[in-house]
Amino acid sequence: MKKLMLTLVIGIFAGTASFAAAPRDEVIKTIKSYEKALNGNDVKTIVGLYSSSPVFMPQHAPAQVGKEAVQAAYEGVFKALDLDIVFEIHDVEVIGNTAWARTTSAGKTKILENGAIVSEGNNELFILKKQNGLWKIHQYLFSTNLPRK
Amino acid sequence: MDRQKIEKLLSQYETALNQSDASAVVPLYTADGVFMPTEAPTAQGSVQLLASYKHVFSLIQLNIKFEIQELVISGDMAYAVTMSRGQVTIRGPKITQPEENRELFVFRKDSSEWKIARYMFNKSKPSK
Repeated sequence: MKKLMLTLVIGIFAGTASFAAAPRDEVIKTIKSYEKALNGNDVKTIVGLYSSSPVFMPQHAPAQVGKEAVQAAYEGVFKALDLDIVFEIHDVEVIGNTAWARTTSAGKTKILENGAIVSEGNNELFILKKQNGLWKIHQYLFSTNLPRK
Repeated sequence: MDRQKIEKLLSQYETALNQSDASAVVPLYTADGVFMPTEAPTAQGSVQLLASYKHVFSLIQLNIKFEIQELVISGDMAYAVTMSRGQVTIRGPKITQPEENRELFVFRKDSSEWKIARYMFNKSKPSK
């Protein structure tokens, strides 16, 4: 009987664990959603992945502070570029409602103005916040890791 | 207290950069620390960090000052957004020009000492 109870208890815990995704996995899910939206020129989804008071720090541009600025920045990016990149997630650390992730992205970028296709290679650091149960991009900075031509 | 310790860490990093002192930079990082310079390979861990900073300092001499724009501490982790401004001298041709970067640091508290865990920067001005 004791053994049966123990089996039941373990079963219940195992069941609970399988329903609640680990915070780390949730952070990875946000980054994978960002990758998909970036490749799909999907500004609406991207803005939804950012926190309520985000800061986006693209290279060679001023910091984009707040949702409206972030939206305008991505609209500008997609008017100029068509991205086809893959993110590799190297580190994710979660402490309470804050997390950070280090990624690299690589692939091809089409410059819409002249149709040229160039190689893309970047480092990224994401700071994420958990808001209303979801992990959102709060601060984000990227920079190329390819040597200057 | 934690805030002051991180401010001191950044100040030590600034001094080490301005003195081109690679061996003073390395202990400011965690053992698994990662430095992601622009347009260059990423360095992870003491051996790679030392080589990477030595390489940087063989090319340029910095004279910059960090300004902390945001510093957020969450338990044993913290992050900071900073701006650094000043001058850089390119050692070969001895050309001195203005230098300005924006940085994102991730810090970790390892046995009561705050260290740089991840660090990268970019430029906020248009590319020339």
